Amino acid sequence: MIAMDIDGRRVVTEEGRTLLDAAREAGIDIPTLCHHEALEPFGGCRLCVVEAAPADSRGPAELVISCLAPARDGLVVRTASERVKEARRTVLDLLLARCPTSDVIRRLAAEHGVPRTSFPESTDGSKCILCMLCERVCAKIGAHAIGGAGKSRGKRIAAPFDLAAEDCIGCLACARICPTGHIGYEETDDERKIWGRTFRMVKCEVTGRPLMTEEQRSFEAKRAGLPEDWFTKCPESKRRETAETIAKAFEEVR
Amino acid sequence: MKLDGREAFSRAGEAARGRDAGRTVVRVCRGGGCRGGAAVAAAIESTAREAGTVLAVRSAGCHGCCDLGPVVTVPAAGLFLAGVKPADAPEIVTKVIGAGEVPDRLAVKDAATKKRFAREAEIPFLAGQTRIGLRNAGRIDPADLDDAIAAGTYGAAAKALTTMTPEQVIAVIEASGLRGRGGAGFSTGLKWRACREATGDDRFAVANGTVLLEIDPHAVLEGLLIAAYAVGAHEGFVFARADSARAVALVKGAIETATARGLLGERILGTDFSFTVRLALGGSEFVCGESTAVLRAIEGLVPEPRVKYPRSAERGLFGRPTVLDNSETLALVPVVVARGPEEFRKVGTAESPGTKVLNLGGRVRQGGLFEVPFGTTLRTLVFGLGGGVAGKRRFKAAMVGGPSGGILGEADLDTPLDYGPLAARGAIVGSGNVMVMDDHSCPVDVARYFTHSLAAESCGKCVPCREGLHHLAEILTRITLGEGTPADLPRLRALARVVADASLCGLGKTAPNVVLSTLDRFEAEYRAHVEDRKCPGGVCRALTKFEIDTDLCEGCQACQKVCPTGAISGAKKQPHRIDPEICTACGMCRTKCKFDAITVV
Repeated sequence: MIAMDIDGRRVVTEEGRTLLDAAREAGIDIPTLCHHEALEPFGGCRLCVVEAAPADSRGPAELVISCLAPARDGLVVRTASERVKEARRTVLDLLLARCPTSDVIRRLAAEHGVPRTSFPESTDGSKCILCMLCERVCAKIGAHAIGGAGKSRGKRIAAPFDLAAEDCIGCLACARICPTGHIGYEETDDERKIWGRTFRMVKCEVTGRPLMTEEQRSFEAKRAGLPEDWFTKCPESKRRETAETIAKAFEEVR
Repeated sequence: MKLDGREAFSRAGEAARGRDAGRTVVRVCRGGGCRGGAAVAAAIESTAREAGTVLAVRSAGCHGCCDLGPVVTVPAAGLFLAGVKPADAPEIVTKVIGAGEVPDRLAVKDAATKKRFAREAEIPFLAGQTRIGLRNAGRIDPADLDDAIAAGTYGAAAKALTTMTPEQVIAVIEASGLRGRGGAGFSTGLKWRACREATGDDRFAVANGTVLLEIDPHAVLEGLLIAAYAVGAHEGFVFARADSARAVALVKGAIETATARGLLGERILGTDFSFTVRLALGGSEFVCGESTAVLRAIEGLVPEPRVKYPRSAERGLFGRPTVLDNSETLALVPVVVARGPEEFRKVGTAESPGTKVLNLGGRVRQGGLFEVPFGTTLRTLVFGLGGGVAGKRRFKAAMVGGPSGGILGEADLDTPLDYGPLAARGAIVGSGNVMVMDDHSCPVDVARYFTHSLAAESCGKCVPCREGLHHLAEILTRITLGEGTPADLPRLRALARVVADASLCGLGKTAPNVVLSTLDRFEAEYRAHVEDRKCPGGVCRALTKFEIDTDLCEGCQACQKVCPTGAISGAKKQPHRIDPEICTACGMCRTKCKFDAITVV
């Protein structure tokens, strides 16, 4: 067991947890943008910085990245000191200048006392904050279809060589995990367009609703070692089917 | 032939040292900057053949003073000739080698006293150094393993592998107080111990940093071998920038020849210890000074640093415990092992024992590589070894620590060059680069230039560095263009502080040094830019007006000849005049004026 002082409160957590985990478990809010529970911590947005120092330390506290800093016994953590708030405000100020059209960033910045950016605003209309959640979720799924290209401020998310994303399976994980809605796609009942590709949809054999792309079906079947025709019904149909089976069984028993 | 034990190794050393018995060795430097060395060597060889003089003309690596190259040395006589041309060959063969006389023009002129010296031991800027890491600089051919063995290289590794346990090696390194020369100054012994004690079946030892690879690749490989033995690594990499063609070729050759001789590879020197080294090439990204970025590059990924939880010593390259050391640190390791930690601690400071290789440049009389004990003052470096500021100019500032270092001023000249004292003044040891600026420079423009380059070198992973440096550079650019306002100064300072505090890696954390240190020392000049619309240094063209001081002007017309816009008029021996309507404030005239008559108004 690890006991820490977070914002004056005694917080107990387990070995292997991060400061962010411990704070959130204790109901202490630390804002994040590049963090997602399903993915490895990244440490890029710097929004979750906190001040931390061992209890017996005489030197100045360190500004650490809470999504990666491991919880340690006796650590004194401050999640809302002036230094932390200044760093957060600056990060949000910079992100607001980069993505002035993003409602998510605007709201978050306003919440932290940055109603408008103090820097010249970007005019390219991009909402991408380069949190890399899309790249990371795509890699986690195993498709590795998109990633960061370039560096510095010119870095961006792209498919290899800016061509249609060859390895994309059209699963939309990237678009759904994107915190600012930067990644766009088009969809009808029959097809889905994303990353320069057009995918045909597999339909639920019960409801006729779009289920997944053909490429995603092949990908998932291969990964799980299942036949491709395993994926025939939408989750709702499956639930209905299960419910009906159970209801029938009950009737028989009665 | 493979050397299968310590005895075979010492015999090889004797053979290498004895191979030039009865011949005078002449070394011609073939460093990366010394174009013309090959022609000089060929001329000396053919002249000697015709004269019937028996010579062994060998190559030498960089001496670390490329402005004096090509350099020819006669080691037996301790002679050091600078700026040699092929036409000097007859005189070198007959007079220098034959009679030990050195013509004045080939002797090294001391920058400060103008005296000439031909004996290496007397040349002030060389004699004033403590060359430990650079012990073989210019004394061996970096492409020749026998040269290295003759100089004693691999002797410390032989000692470690055959007479010491890995624990003992780590204890020696810890006792020496050796700190990483890559910039951060972390304790090498602690790092090695952490790696040795980390859980994992196998581990890696990695070297990075280019300079020593070009000068003494075998010393680096020897240090890497000792590191690998200490931590228990059986595989290693030397990371080199692909665009340093010379370093790449030398390291490749050094790994091959050392492996062929049984100094690397399987069962080294007949022991049970095996260590295979491979060359890993990367781009020249500035972020590759960051250890975790280097490891990612070796893995074949984009060099982006990661947050160091856990440290690379515990989980580094391909997830295995990894020790990564700078090539300069590794070149010092054999010295520590061979001579012992007490000997190593005799130079330098208590906190930072040993020496540091510094690269002095900018507006200084004698630039180049200077290896000095930690604790040497900036004044000794610039005014002692470097011979002071070039031309008739005055010292204004020195950027210490490379592009992400800090700017120190005249009041800081007595600062000891060491991690703690430099950090206390907003500078770093960093890459060891020291760039001197004279009174014709502008601290604001210097800050703009470096911030702009560092913004472009940001990998883009974290927000403060990627976005913050960009806006710092934008604000500084506006100020140098005369579009700044007084409100920009506190904004610069506030943003620079957060970038330094909240960035992910060393690049972002140190990049604002140049902004903060110039704001601290040269606030008056910043104010002149934003309040008076003037650049006192005469560099920012939008804010500079030049005038000719008619009392000082001798009417030599030198300025007229270089003025690209024809803005300067005046007859010979008559005071000249600059037409402000035509002048673009490029400053060319000022660099040519011998009378300091061109003034900033």
